[in-house]
Amino acid sequence: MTAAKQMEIKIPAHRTEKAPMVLVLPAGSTSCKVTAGAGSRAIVCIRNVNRDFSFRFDLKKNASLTCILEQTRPGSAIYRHTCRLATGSEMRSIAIFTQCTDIRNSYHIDIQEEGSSLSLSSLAVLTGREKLAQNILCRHNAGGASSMQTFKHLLGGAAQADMVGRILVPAGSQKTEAYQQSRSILLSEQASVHVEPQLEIYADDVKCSHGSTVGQLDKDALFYMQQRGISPEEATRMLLEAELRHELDSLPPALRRVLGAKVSRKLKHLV
Amino acid sequence: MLEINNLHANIDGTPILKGISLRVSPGEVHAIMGPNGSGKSTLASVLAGRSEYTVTSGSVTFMGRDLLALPAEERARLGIFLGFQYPVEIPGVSIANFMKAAVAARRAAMGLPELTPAEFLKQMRAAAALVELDPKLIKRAVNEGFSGGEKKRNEIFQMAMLKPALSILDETDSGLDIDALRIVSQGVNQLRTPENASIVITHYQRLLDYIVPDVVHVLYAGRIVMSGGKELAKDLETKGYDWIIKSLN
Ligand SMILES: Nc1ncnc2c1ncn2[C@@H]1O[C@H](COP(=O)(O)OP(=O)(O)OP(=O)(O)O)[C@@H](O)[C@H]1O
Ligand SMILES: [Mg+2]
Repeated sequence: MTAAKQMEIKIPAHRTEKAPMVLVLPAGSTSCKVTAGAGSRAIVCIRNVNRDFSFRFDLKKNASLTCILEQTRPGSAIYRHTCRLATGSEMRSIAIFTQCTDIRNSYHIDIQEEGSSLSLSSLAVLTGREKLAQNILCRHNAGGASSMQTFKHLLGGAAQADMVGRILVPAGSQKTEAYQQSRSILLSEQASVHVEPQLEIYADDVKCSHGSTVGQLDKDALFYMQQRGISPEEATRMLLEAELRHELDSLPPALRRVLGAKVSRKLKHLV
Repeated sequence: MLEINNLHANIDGTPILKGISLRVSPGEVHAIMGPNGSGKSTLASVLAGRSEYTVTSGSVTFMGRDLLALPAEERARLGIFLGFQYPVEIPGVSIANFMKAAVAARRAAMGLPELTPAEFLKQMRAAAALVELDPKLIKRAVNEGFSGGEKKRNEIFQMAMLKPALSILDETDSGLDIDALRIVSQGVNQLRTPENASIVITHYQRLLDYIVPDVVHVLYAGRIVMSGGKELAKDLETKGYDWIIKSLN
């Protein structure tokens, strides 16, 4: 019996998959390779894998792939993602964490050719003793490509979130655009966040930036809402949802409602 | 309806309100004028329940309740509405969701049933029309990217939705162009009933041509130093505050 430890999925060239494809990972498998053929378009969903697992995404020329990773059930695991982007390809990766007993999640992205773009966003809504550690390496091996990373952490209880995000732009990768943003909101004294951006830029004609903020909700906005009769708890929840609005709205319509509901449900445990 | 007795309040240990007494009855409009920094917005904030301010002595009774004992949201549900001097932008929260939550809270406190979505929408449209607020703005996030004048219209739009018993309008006129001033004032006047009352804070007599006050108060250094009829506002417009301040010494 040689159970295939590696799964493989190929999206044929120029195929457009309209409906999101849910990756069903057979028991015993530990890795999965997704190849997006030239000019293909697809949405892939990965749900609550809850065991150590490696994903590999290979985007051929002009392929467009959206990958939605969902950790909405309690679990402890290490996830590894490697992505390679060819000319003109577009990778959107959205990770949603509402239940992390202890999750470590890493991305190793190689932008191999020009005209490609990566958008990576991660939303974490954690409380209790939940832990999430993420590690990102985004290498612009070719110029003329863009990457945008967004991290949002809403933390209550004694939740802990770590993020180390490294962007590497070698000399010669001119006309690179690389951005990283992180925003963390701590709702309790015990919650903690550690964000470490690392920009290594050796090319001179680039647009790169990173920014990270850690804070509490806007007191003036909370008072404004209270003055209209909204309880502080409800106002807090509304402001937290607002923090995630942009990312939730950018989800494929088929998934927006159900994932939005999961996030809202978790927010009720934070406030 | 509202009775303020010898109210003193601090912020960060600095006394700002130094003994304010004021009585507002149903159907009345009171104007509060006074130089910059005299404590007008502070009084409004203390009445609305902003927690940064500490009341050190005095009392406030509103519709028979000890107002100072209530948190801000309960004061609002009882019918206190503050039109902010600087309305706050809330990115990501749509006006519709914001108003839905606010109206539901107020109606529940009044023992009224929840509005149907159709009825809510109808009221939103009517309130927007009242102050000629562009219906497109209602679809946006609360005050986000609104011009100064649009923010002020939005305050009165919300007042129309919430039908407060006592509205405290803090410089609602500043930032409004001449036409908007007329429109917004007419809106406020249309919301007047024999049961509700308003406290209008302003620097300009012009507003009081539209919203005609029963009483005009002058607030100076944390105290009401003079009260009079609507002619007092006209006197202030021509003579300024100096003559009052001099007469105090
Ligand atoms: N945190 C603070 N510490 C000390 N003083 C403060 C603080 N916040 C406000 N003040 C002061 O309180 C005073 C009253 O301010 P307030 O905003 O109530 O004035 P106002 O009458 O509304 O003025 P304006 O006409 O300019 O709107 C001002 O002198 C202001 O500087
Ligand atoms: Mg003021």
